[in-house]
Amino acid sequence: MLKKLRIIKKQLKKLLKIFYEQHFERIIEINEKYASPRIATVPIVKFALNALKIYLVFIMGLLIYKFITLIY
Amino acid sequence: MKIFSKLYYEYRRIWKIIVLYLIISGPGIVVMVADNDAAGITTYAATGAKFGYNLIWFLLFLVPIAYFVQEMTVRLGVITKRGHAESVFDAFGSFWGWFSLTNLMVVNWLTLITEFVGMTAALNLFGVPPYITVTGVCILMGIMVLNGRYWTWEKIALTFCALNLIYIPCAFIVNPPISAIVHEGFIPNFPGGFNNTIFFFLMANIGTTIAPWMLYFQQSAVVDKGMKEKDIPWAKFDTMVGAILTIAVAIFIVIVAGTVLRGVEFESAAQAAQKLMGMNKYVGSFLAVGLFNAGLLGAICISLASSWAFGEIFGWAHSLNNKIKEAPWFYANYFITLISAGLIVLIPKAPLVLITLLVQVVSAMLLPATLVFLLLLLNDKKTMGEYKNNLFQNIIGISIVTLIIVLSTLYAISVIFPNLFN
Repeated sequence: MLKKLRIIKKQLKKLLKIFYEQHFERIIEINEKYASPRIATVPIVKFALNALKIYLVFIMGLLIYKFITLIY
Repeated sequence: MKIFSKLYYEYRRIWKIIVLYLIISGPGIVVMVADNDAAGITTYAATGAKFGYNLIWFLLFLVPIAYFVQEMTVRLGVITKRGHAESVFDAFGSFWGWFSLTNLMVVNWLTLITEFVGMTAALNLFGVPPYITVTGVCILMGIMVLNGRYWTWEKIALTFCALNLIYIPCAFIVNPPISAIVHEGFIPNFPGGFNNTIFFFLMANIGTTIAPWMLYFQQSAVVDKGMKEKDIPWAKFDTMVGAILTIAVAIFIVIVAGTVLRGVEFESAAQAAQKLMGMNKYVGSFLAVGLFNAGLLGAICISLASSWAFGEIFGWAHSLNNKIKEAPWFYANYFITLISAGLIVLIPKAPLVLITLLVQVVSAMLLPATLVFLLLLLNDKKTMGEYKNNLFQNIIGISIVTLIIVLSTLYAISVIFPNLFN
């Protein structure tokens, strides 16, 4: 039983190592592949993306505020 | 004789149309009916219990809203042959890509937990312990995806969609007053005036109609099914049928709750079913079965939406037509998401209320981004060609997207600060 568990543990470790090696490199590849946006950055696209950034900062700000007020 | 041959010709023609529709149908109906998930059932039941039939007219407005948003994902998927995650990475770069993907992963996982909460609570009413429900659901969902064919998976999912119609006989059993439904439900009105409580319920109903996973799911499903440009009109029709079905089910839930549970307060659909069981055994049991089915359908679609998105970005084989050996990471992602969400529900005193609230907040972060990306992509002439949004579609699309963003944001704020709108 213990021997079987050890084999499973060893195989899991091997699998995780392969996953880490494959996917860490893959993330770098993905970042390189999609480094620049393909869509034409016309004014409306720029405006929409900037508005989205402001919106996300606003929501994050609310969450942080709530978190701080909850603690104190 | 001529009449008979004409009738036979018409019969053959209509039968051919039905067969063609049955082949093409699927993603639209599945995604829309799955939208009536455990949280959705609770929202509709609570709406009926609080306001009776008075907000049925508002639910009717949600048919075009759901249709127009989902229809855009159909065109995008068919033309680009890419899922939504890949489309965002490709068009807007890695920053917005990772933002969408990580958010989707978090919100889907949290939503999956709420589906398990609904399913375990529903079967608990019949004396089934939660661990058996979780194990059974994981096994069932495993069997569904491991048969190695998208077509088989879709038809099983459609069977569960049909079970979602259980609320329709429920409404007939409780024998609601038809004249009251027509007078109160189909004439726009706000019972007691437009106050904060009504506003909260309107926001909640809109919030349950469009969720980020729906956009990712339908686009990926359209791609996995291999739909072509000539299939677009049928796929749109499929989406329309789904939108009508989902709102029809919602209306029947409101009618059941408005007839039997008016003025009764409850925190979940399972509690509502339990209270109903005391009044009418069959209706209560139907509601519980429907709740379990709703949670199951939601879980089926949500876990797949995440796996498809990851598969697209990491370049894994990511089709239900692949065997487990051909797409190990795709299925690993599917099962890890599913089993981990199920295990959370089994943890004693797990913060399930907090998780439910978090779903709303994280959704409010992802939904505006997803909808804005969708509109921008549908206006990209280079990608969409003749299937680009026209002026009418843009006016409708921008109005709907603005409405959803404003209301879902206000809903999220009301969740973070519960006393703000009181």
